Amino acid sequence: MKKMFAAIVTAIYGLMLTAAPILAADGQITGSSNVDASVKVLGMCSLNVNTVDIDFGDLLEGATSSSVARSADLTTNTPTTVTIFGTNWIGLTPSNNFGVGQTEYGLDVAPHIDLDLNPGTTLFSSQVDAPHNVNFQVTIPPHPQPADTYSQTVTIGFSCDQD
Amino acid sequence: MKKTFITAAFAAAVFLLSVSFAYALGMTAGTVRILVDVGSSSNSSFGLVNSGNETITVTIRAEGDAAQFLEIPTKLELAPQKLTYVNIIATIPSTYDGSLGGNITGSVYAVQEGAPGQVQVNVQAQKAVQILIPKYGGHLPEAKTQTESSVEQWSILTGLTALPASNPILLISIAGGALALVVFVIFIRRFDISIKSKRR
Repeated sequence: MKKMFAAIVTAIYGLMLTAAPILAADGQITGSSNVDASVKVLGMCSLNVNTVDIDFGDLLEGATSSSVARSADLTTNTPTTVTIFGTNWIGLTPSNNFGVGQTEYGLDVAPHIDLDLNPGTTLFSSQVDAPHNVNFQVTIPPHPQPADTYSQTVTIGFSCDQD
Repeated sequence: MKKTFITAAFAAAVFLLSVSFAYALGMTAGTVRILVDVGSSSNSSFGLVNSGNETITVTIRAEGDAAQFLEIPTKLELAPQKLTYVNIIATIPSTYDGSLGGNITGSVYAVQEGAPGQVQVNVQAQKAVQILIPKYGGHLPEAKTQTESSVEQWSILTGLTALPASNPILLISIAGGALALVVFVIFIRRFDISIKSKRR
């Protein structure tokens, strides 16, 4: 009886020692293992602009319009630059025109900066979401400014080139 | 009833007006770099995203020194809520004499035009592009790598301790063996182990 007991204990113990490396949880018989994981989050920048045309209405020579606001909401997770520039005012008769700088803008404040032809004019920079309003107004040049219907294009640009 | 209908119609009109003309144009970050040999072509791309609810059309153009070597689509339709890739092909003719060097820069613009009117408001995404020509010193920048690694120093001691710690079955086996050994020592006199030779 005692011999049988000793034999059973020895057999079970031997079986456990043999099976242990095979049944190791991580399949390794070494003491440690490391798993490196990596994920790349893409940089993205996005600009949401209210692109309804701006109508300053009918104005007299030398008059200044009321201020008109347009939203420019930046959504980004990377350094982003938002720019603004415009074209000169052109009449239906192309020879009638006046300068781009007659339009003024202000970021979240009253218009006070002359619009420029330079496409590199920075409106604001941010690396996080930034909701803004851009306020515009136009001042018609003094007499003599030919009566006509004038138009202009304003472009709000953005770039996020940092790798 | 009539008043309610007019109010609802007005509200719907205001809502549609605000939704229809508010576009969100987005793009993937980073500079587009194209490595290309003299006399051959290569391509790369960047992503544009229309975050609005309607399909929009953007016009694409290239400017700068790199523009003359680039081939891009002139217009793209961007489906709502999707990433659309703009393929850029750079071709350096075999006659290129290196006058612009091995790193030729430029920009690709995607413009979403606003509603026409007294002042038309456009939205423009600008993507920097570099054409890199190895023959004239152009090369891709070294990738920025940030590695975080934990290296455990291996030794007999760590092995002996770590192995049972990571393997519960082995731990139980060793403990069981130790217990059996103790039991065996305590009761050694009660075991009757003898080896008898067979007699022929």
